[in-house]
Formats: sequence, C-alpha cells, structure tokens
Amino acid sequence: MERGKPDIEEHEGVRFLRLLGLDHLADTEVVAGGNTIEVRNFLDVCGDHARPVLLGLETMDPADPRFEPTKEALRGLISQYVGIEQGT
Amino acid sequence: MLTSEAAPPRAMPDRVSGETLHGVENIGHQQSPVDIEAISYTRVDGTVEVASSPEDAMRRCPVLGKMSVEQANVLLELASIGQEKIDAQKKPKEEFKQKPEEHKETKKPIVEQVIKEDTKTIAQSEVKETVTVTTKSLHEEMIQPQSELDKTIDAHSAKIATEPKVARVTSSDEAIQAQKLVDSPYIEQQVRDKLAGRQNIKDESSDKATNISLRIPPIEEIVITNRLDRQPTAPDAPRAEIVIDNRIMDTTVASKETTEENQEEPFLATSQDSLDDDTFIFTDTELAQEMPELFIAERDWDITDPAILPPFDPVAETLDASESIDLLPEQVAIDAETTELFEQLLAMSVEADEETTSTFVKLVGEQSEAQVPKEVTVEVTSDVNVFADFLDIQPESEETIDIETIVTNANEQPLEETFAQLIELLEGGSFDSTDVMSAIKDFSKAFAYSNREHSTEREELLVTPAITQKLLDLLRAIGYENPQEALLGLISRHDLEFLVQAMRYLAQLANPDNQHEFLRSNPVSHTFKYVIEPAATRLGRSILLLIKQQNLAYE
Repeated sequence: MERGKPDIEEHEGVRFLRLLGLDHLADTEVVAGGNTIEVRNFLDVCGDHARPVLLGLETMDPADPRFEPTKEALRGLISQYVGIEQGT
Repeated sequence: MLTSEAAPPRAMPDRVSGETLHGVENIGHQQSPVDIEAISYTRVDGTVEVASSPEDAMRRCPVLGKMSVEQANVLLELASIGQEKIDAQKKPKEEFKQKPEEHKETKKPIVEQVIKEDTKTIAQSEVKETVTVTTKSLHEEMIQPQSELDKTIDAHSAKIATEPKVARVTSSDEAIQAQKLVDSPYIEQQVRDKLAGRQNIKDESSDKATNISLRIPPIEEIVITNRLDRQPTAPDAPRAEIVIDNRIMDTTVASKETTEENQEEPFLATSQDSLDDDTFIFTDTELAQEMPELFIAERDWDITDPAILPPFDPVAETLDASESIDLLPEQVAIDAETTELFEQLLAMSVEADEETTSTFVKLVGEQSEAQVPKEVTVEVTSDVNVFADFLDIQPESEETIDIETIVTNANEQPLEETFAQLIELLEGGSFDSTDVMSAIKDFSKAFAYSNREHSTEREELLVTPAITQKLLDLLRAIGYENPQEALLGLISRHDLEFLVQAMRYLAQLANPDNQHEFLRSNPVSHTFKYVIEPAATRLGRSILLLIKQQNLAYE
C-alpha cells in the first residue's frame, strides 16, 4: 500500500478471498442461495457465520502451525459453498 | 474447549451453510464440558436441538462434523476471536452514530499522527487497527464526561419536573408592593386622618400594609387641594386664594390624562372659603356610596331660611362693617309676588337642561311683554353664549377707548359690548374715573363675597340681590340710564351664564391682586350646567324685582 493513502479500504470479500488464496475468483458469478452473485459478495450470504472465523484467521499469526491447516479447511468450505472446485 | 475424541465421519453437506457455523458458535459459547451432559442449542433457522454431549453437537454440525476435533477447536477459537473484533467494531460505530461529527474531527488527525510516527511502511490493516482503537479510546474519553453531564442534567430536570409550577410571591414582596401604595408619608397621613374612625383603619393600623390596600376600595382618583393663602396687596380688596391641585392618582391612563390636564390648567379662584385642611375629592362612585361623608356636601341654599347663611369667612372681616350690613338685608328684602314667580321658576328648573334656560328666557320675555314697556323687546338669542368667546370675536377698534367714550356710548350699544370695552380698559390698568372705578370695586366685593368655588368640577353660583344692586349701580355709573332694561336685553340675547361670566370677568379684573393670574388662567367654566340652582334663582329674582320696580315706576 502506498503511503498517504491508508484510508482506502479494500472490499471485505476480496480481502478474505485474498487471505484464502481465492482472490482470482472474486469476479466470478455463481449461484448461491438461489441468487446469482459474484464470489466477492459471498459474505452477503454466509457472512454472519463465516466473518468471525475469517476475522480470527486474519488476526492469526501466519507462523502459527495451526494457520495453514485452518486456512485450508476454510478454503475448502468456501469453495464448496460457492461451487468452485478447489485449485481452480 | 472441546476435549473429546474426534467425531465419527458423517456425510458432508452439499454446501456449507451459515446455519452450521452459527450452531458451532452457539456450542462454543454455551457449553461447559465439565458439568453439562445434555446440551440444548438453537440453530440459526430457529430450531432447537439437543445434543447429549459436545461431541454429539459437533458431529451434528454440517461443517465441523467432517473435521477433526483439533481442527474444529481451532475454528471455534478463531470464530471467538473474530466475534470479539466484530463486537469491538460495532460498539464504536454505534457511538459514532450518536456523535458522527466528533468522530470525523478526531479520526483524521489520529491517522496522520500514526503515519508520521511510523517512518517505515505500514500495512493497511495495521493502520486501520490503530486508528480504530485510538479513536475508540478517545471517543470513550469524550463520551464519559458527556454522560456525567447528561446525568446531572437529567437529575435537575427530574427535580424541576417534580416541583409544582406555581409562581410564588412571598409575603414580604406583597408587603413591599402594598407599601408603595401608601409610600408617601404625606398621603398616608392624609388617608389616615380622613378615614380613621370611619373605616376602622385606626384599629387595624398595626396590620401590614397589604391589609390597608385590600380594605380600601379601589380608589381611582385622589385629589389633594392645597390652598395657599395670599395676602391681598390692597387692604380693601377681597383676599384672593391660589388654589393648586395636586392630584395623585393610580396608573390608569385616564387618570394620568386628567392629572396632566389639571397641571396644565391650574385654576385661580377668588374664594372666601378658607379651608383649614386639605380637601379630598374622591371620584370613585363606590366609595362615595359607602362613605358619603368624605365628599363635599352639595350646598343647597335656601334664602328663605335665615339659619342657613354663608359660612363665616375671615375675608368678611377685612370689609368695612357698614358695607357688610348693607349687603345682608337686601337678601331677605323680597316681596311675596316676586317669591311666587321664582317658586314657579324653581319648579320648572327641576328639568334642568338647556331647555330650562331657554324657558327661563322665554318666561322673562313673557313677563317683559306683559309688564315692560313696548320699547323693551326680546331679541333673538345670540349664538355666542360664552363671554370669553364673545371677547375674542370683538373687532379691534382703531380709536383708543377711554371711560368717557364708554359712558357716552353706553345707551347706544348692547351691554355686552360695553362690558367688553370696560374689560379692555381694565386690562390696560386703572383709569381716572373715580365713580366708575369705585362702582366696579364695590361690585367686585359683593361678587367675591357671594361667590365661592369648591372645585373645578362643579361651579356653584351664588348671586344675591346685593350683587344685582351693585351691578345696577355700576351700569348707572358707566352711563346706562335704564340698567334693568340693559340687563334684560343681555340675558335675552345670550343666557344667564353669559351674564355671570361677564360679572366674574369684571370682578376678577377689578381686583388688582389677582388680575395678572386671572388673565393667564381661563376664567370660563367648562362644565357650567344650565341648571337653575338656588343661586341662579337669586339672580333671576333680583332681575324680575327690578323689572317690577321699573313697571311700577312707569305706571
């Protein structure tokens, strides 16, 4: 981030997708909950449940040995939720 | 923290649902693995589920059920941490909603300060976190005193709301305000002197002033007349008295206007009344009904009653004893025929109005036609019935008027014009004719003796036959061969008041002591009523007596 522009906030969904390594799927449209949404807006559907866990992961030290396993578990859950095959 | 063994594998749901995550959160917050055997928890969709153990609840969760216990515990721990952050963010946001402007004012400087202090590259998330926490702490500091202030205000508001909304006036205020009513020692003394014994003020004088103000009926007007005696410069002149009205009234506009009017027009009266004390005139009608004794009694003189005579006046002492003796006997020297005629006039005067005067003139005219020689005619009454107005409309003569001219032209001009010329001459000063001047002074003495003024509100006229006799002597002195005819002509052309005003003019001007003040004042009574009062009947009686004498002379 450039200095002098700290107040420009990144989209919350995109931030979590980047945390999970799925930010390249942010603009992909999927059908979730009967509605067509972009993946970046997945929090609109399951945000009440996923946001605390993702925030906890965001504050977790990446050096923590539990970080990567948890990250992978959440990545699998979100990928399944939005219908994206893991690794794509 | 869950410590049980790994949950048995379950069929994974097709999609991860929020309900499962919420269920996990509930389990994480509620359960205590030590002493809870059966766990009841509510899912997001509102359904209540019961698990026999935390492991059972986890196995039922579509998300956590496929995870190992260790991994599920990590998720629960992260969810707990994240939930705390969300709660921490929500709280400042709610406070910022209440104080949005204050938050904006403090946020930007804090961010700039953090950036300045950190010379290295700062991650965006770190900056946001710092800003959030700092803002929160500062906002809490700002909110705290405000809350205390609000509490204080609420406490005072509650206290005020419980107090009765009644304007309180202490008894001391009432006393002070009432004291102002009688604040003047002079007024207070006068009121006490006048009302003591009649209204029981003396018995309650020790009470508060409030009681006094309540007991006294609403007085609209209090008139205090200070009479200052003035010694006449001429030893033989009637004593003149300057009457000054000091009116003390309430704050009503009408009373103020009356006060100003009276102050602008102080009246001067030649009165032989010498009142020892001040005269109070209460114009309040209610007070007049309750305490009629406070008001000046109407004088209803009856000349046939010798017991009722004008009150003793010290001025009479200044007159020569022989003159006083000369004046009095004429008042009772009335024959029966004249008395009968005047009783008829007096009965007619009950309907006292303008009609009465015209009737009087008409009656005089009838009597004149029947008894007076033909050459005495009753002329049409003049429109100018105020002597002062008559003087104003008199043309200024180019020739200098002297007493000889007046005497020469007396029989050829109306009496009012002769009066006007004589007055003009008197205003210029005294003149040489000793006979005329003596006659004028004699008339002035007689007029001053018989006339008295009690107030500006009502003029009581007391004209005696002695005045008439002195007036006739004066007319003869200025050249009238038949003064009775001249008097009748004047009354027929104008009215009785006109003659009285002319006589008063002459009487005032003849007195050198009050001539100056008289000329500045307005000697015309504005409230003269066309009422034939006993005093007026005396004048008419005198005139008709003269007519009768004249007729007898012709016969």
